[in-house]
Amino acid sequence: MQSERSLSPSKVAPRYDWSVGAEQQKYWAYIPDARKQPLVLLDGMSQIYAINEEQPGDRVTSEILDDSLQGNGMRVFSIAAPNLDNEELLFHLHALTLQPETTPKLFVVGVCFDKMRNVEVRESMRDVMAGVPALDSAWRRSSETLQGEFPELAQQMTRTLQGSRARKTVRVDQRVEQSLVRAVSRVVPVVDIRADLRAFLFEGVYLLRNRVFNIKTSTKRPILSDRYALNQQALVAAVRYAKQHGIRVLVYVIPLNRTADTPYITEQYDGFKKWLEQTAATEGAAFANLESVVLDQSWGLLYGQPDFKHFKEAGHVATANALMPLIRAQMSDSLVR
Amino acid sequence: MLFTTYSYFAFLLLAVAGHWLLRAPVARAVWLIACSLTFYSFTQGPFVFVLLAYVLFNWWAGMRLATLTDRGVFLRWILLANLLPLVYYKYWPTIVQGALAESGRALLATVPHAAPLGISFFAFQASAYLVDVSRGGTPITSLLDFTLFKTFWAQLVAGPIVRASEMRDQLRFRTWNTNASAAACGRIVNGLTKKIVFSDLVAPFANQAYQAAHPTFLDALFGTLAFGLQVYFDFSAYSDIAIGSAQLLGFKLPENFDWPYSARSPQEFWQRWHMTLSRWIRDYVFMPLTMHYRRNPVAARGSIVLAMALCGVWHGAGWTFLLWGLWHGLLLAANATFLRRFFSATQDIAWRRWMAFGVTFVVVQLSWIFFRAGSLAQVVDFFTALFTMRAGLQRAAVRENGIILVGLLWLGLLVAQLNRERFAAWQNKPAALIALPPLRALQLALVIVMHQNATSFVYFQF
Repeated sequence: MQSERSLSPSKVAPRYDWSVGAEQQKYWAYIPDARKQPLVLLDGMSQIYAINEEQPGDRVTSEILDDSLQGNGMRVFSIAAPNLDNEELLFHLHALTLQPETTPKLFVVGVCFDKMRNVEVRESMRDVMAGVPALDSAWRRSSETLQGEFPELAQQMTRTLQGSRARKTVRVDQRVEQSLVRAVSRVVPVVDIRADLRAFLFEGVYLLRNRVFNIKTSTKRPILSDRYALNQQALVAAVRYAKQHGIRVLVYVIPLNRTADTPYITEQYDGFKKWLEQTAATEGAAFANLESVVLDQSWGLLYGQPDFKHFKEAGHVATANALMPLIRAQMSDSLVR
Repeated sequence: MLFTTYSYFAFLLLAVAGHWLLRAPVARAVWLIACSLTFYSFTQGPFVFVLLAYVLFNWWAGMRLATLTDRGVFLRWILLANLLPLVYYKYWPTIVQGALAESGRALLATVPHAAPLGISFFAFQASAYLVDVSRGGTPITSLLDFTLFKTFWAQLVAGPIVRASEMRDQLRFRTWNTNASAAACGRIVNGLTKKIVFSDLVAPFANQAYQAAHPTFLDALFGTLAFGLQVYFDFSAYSDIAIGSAQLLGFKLPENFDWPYSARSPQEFWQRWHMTLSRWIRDYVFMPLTMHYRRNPVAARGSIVLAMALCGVWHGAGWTFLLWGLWHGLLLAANATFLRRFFSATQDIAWRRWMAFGVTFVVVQLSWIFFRAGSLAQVVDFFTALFTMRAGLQRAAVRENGIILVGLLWLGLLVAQLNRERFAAWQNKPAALIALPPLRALQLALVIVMHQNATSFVYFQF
C-alpha cells in the first residue's frame, strides 16, 4: 500500500508541500529563495509524493532531484495535491509568482490523463486565496484576460473567485458558529473526529460501490468532454502565464505501470499524449513522455490490485533520473559546473 | 441563522428552555419575539427593521381595515404598500437592468443590492392576512400577539406560510406535550438527515450538469434528476426542522410537503408540494380570478395559468421562473380539461395509475429545468440535449458516482413512497418504541459525521 509522508516539518527543512492549501503558508516558507539560486518547481498529482511500501529514508522525486542538482547551484521543491486538476495548477502558478522568492525559473508539470476528469479549485486552496488579496486580484485579471479565448475556463475561474470571496467575509455569525463547533468538539468526541469518521465512511462506501458494481481500478473511465476541455484550456493558460512571468515550462506524461490494466481507453489516452506534445510545441514548453521509465518491479498494490500510478522509491529514482537531463537542458544557462 | 448550524441548536435549546420556564403567556410571547428578532438579526442585521416595519404597518392596517365598511380601495392601497418593498428588493434590479443601457448595467452591478431574507414569505403572509380581514376575518388586535405571529422564526424565512386563523389560538395558549416533543425531535433529525446527508450530497452532481458548457443527454438527464432530489430534500428538510422546532414550543404549523413525487397528476402534485404556497395561490389569486371570470369559461380556465405564472415570478425575477410557473399552469389547465380522465384520481386499473404517476413524474422533473437553469439559453440547451439524445451515452460533465448516487436515491425514495403507509402504521406499534430511538441515534450520528460547512437552503433565495 502507498503511504503519504508525514506533513510535519522534520529536523530538515521540508522540500515539498502537499497540504493542499491547508498549510500552504507554513510549507511555502521552506521554498528555497529563488532570488538566491535558480528554483525548479515540480507540480502535479499524488504520484509526486506517494511512496508504495515506503522504507525509512526513502526519498521522493523532488528530493532526489534537489540532492543531485544542488551541486549545480539549483534547488528543487515540489507542490502536489491528490487528483490535482489543471485549474489548481494554474492556481499554484498564480500564488508562486506573487513574490520573486517563490517564482521558479523552471516549472515542471507531471500531467496525468485521468486527472483531466477533475475540475474546480478545492476549498482549502480557495481559503488561501481568500486571505491573499494580491492573489485574488491576479486571479481576477487572468480570468478577465481569458474571457475571449477560453470563456469556459474564465467562467470556471470566476466561480472559484466567487467561492473564495464568499469564504473571505467571515461574518459575526460564522465566527460564533466556529467557536461553538470548537467548544462542542471538546465535549463530544464524535464531533471532534468527524472528519476522520467521514473519511472512513466514504472509504467504506467507495469499497462497497466497487464491490456492488464490480468497479475495479481498471474499469474504463472515458473522457468527460467538458471537463477534459476545461483542463486542456487550463494547462495552456498555465503555460502561457508561466511564460509571461519568465518561467520556463517542462510538461511530461507521468510514468504508468505497464503490468497493470489502466482505466484508460487506448485511443483517448493516445490522443491525450499527442495533444500534450503538440501543445507543448505550440506553446513553447519542453515535453517528455515518461510513461515507460519506471520498471515493472518498482510499482506496488492499491486495494490488493496492481497500482497503476504510484510506485516505490525506485520509481521516484527512475523518474528523477529521467527528468534530470531534461531539467539540466532547460537550465543550461543557470548551471554551476 | 441556518437551521443546520450548531448556533441554531444552541439558540433552539435556549429558546425552548426559556419559553417553558416562563409561565405567563405575555412573558412567553415577549421571550419568543425577542428570540425571533435575535434569530433574524443574527444574519440579517439592519433588515430586522424592514421586518418590524411590516409588523407595525400590517397590524395597523388590519385594525383599520376591520373598522371600514367599504374596504376595497383601502385594501388595494395597503396591499400595494405591502408589495412595494418586495418589488424594490426583489425585482427592482432586474427591472432597472432591463431598462438600462450596457454602461448603466455595469454601473448598477457595482452597487450592492441585498434583499431581506424571507421577504417573499412574510410579504405574502401579510397580504393574506389583510385579505382575510377584508373578507370579514377578525384582526389580531394585540400588537404583542401580532408581532409574534409575524416574526415567529420557525415560519419567518422560508415558510410554511401560516395563516392568522391557524396561529391565533396558539399565540397565547400552548401546553407541553412529551409525546409531541419527542415526535418533534424525531422530525428535526429527519430534516437534518434530508438536508445534510441527502440534499448536500446530491447538490454537487446537479451543479456538475448545470455548469457544463455542452451538456449531453446523460448530463441533462442526471442533472435534472439530481436537482429534483436536491430541491425536494432541501426544502422539505427546512419545513421539517421548522415544524419540529415550532412543535417543541407547543405550536402546530401546517404541513408543507406530503410525498410530492408520489403524485399521479399535476393537481395532486400541487396538493403535496409546498402546500402552504399552493393554497395561498389558490385562495388569494386563483379563486378570485375564477370568480371574476365566472361568465367566461375560457378566461376562467386561463386563471390557473395566470395564477401559476405569478407563483413562478414569486420565486424570482426571471423568464425562467415565469416559464416554470406557466409550465405548471398549463399542466394544471390540461389536468382540469382534456387530460382529466387520464389523470383521474380514482383510477382503478393498476397500469393506468402507474402511467399517470409516470407522466406526472416526468413533467414535474422537466419543470425543474426552468427552475434551476441560469438562463433561457440553458433551458433550451437542456431540453435540446434531452430530446435529441445529444451525444448518445457519452457524458461531458457528470461523473459515475453522481449517476450511482442519483439512481440509488431515486430508488430509495420510490421504495419509501410505496411503503409510507406501512411505515406510518409501524410507527404506532410497540416494536417501533424499541427500534426508533437507536434509528434516530444512528441518523444523528450520520448527520454529525456528514456535517461539514452549513450550506444555505435552496428556498432562501426566494
